[in-house]
Amino acid sequence: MFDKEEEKLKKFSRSLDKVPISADELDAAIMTGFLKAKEGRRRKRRSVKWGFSVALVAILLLVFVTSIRVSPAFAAYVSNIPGMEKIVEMISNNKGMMMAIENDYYQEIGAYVEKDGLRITIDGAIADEQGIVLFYSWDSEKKLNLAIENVELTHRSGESFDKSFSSHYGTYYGDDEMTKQGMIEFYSQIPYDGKDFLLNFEAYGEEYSIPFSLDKTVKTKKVYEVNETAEIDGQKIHVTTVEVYPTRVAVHVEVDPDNTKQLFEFEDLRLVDETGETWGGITNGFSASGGPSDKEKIIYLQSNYFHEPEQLFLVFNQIQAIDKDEAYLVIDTEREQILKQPKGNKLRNLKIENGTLSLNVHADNEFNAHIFGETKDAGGRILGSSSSFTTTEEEFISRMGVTYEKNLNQYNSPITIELTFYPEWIEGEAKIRIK
Amino acid sequence: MNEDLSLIKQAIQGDDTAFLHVMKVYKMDLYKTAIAYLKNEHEAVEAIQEVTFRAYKKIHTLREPSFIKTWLIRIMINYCNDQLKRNKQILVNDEQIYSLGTTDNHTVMEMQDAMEQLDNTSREILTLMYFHGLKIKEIAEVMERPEGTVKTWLNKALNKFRDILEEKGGELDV
Repeated sequence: MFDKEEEKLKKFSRSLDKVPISADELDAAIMTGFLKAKEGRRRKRRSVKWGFSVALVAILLLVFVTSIRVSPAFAAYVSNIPGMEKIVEMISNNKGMMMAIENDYYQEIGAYVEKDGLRITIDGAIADEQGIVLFYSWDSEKKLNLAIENVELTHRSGESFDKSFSSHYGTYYGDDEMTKQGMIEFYSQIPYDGKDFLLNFEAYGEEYSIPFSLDKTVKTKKVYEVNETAEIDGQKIHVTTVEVYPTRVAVHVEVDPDNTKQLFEFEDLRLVDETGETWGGITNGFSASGGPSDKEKIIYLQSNYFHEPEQLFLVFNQIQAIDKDEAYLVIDTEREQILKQPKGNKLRNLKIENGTLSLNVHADNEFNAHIFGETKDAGGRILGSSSSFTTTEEEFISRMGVTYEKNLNQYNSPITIELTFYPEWIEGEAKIRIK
Repeated sequence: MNEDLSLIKQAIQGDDTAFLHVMKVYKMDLYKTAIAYLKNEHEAVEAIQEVTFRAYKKIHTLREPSFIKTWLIRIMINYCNDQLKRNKQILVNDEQIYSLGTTDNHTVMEMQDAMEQLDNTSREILTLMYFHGLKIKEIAEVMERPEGTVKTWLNKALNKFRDILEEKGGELDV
């Protein structure tokens, strides 16, 4: 009777399913709502810290989309190992990891833990002397999406490593609504020792530990001593070394202290070989380290470890940068006014609600990085922050906000916020031969 | 509904970790509902925040763990109803159309417009039935009404929906 209407409703429903959204953003909204509710329930508020780092590690969106060509032999290899197709799907935007698998450098592990009908398995790993990338999956009759938290890697004995690993992990959101796989990346600043590990994490508030061992001998890094200086728009960048690991490439650069601009981000830094084949940045994971005012920075690229080029160049054309004397924001928190911002009036519609400050960022290009860095009040006190968010308002306009641990009226106005990213770029041509 | 009922029970009993997990499990359902009615992604994300807030305050009143999904979606629909009342003047929003993809533009505009003109009960019934695939029996249980009543509501809703669409169609032909 209502066939036509029903079909319209179903069609609308399907188009709603296609709306893109970041799961992290929804998780952040859930957390904020939860904290607000908690605040209302009891006066004493526990301080909850969750997932906010002050731009030391930037997670970037697509800069380079390189298409992955898969050989028939590789396709055959992949289909022979159970679960491998999903793993390949997860890393399909990372050429280096794909090549590691193609070169038989992936090692199967198969260690698991089981509790209350939930089995979590470490399926395999790609490891090198300073990095361990684990692929895991789970199996449960309770069809919940698994969110693991508080991941830590220790020696098998449970003893911590001297230098702890930085970790990045997440569930893989592919086409299926129900996902059963994820990856965890660990990177250490120095080579780790031992082959026997314990992976500790929490899921649904329960603690889990999975002992596992790496049995393949890991390949050692290739190091290129570069020591060359590139210049873009009068800004000098000194490239010291390039380290090539099977999991990634670390490009060490030093910015010249006499530069007039603060360099935020080397967005299109890439390796190019003599044939023009390119290895770009990391699109999901650790893309760089070093804060805005640090002299030394490390930029991570997809690895070309398994490709031996005749010649190799480091190329870049664009850096996110702004004049040093403009790289901050001054805000009158009482009048809700931006007192000082970089030229161009790109930051607008400031709003302050209790501890949350938000504004619109008008960029002329694709821009997703979070701009807020260290914040100090008029008395020089540092404002601790508990969370942050970014939402897209319109094309090239996003609303970014940060929630501080205390209500902003408890600090002396005006406050000064260091910028960690900003939608302004310098352009030029830089090409350094490294091999 | 095959969700982990014991986890939901824990959430009802006031376990915060369980509550957060439950919210995360249904976040996509909630987002889908929000984006159907609100003017943009930003508002939809804000809606998730508000629904989390309301759900946390109210979850101890939920009688039956297996009703959780419908219960949460109903909180979202109520929130959207309030917002729609406030935003009555906004009829078409380019940004949302943009985010929903260009091929379906016409459908999306027409549908949002039509859904907005429905009364609250009709909107709720159609949302639960067609966006979340619930059955009349399930809706009846959660709303604590006889199945016959829900069927009547559904018929009314589809009728109204048809009227709105036909009116629209006429306008478009002119």
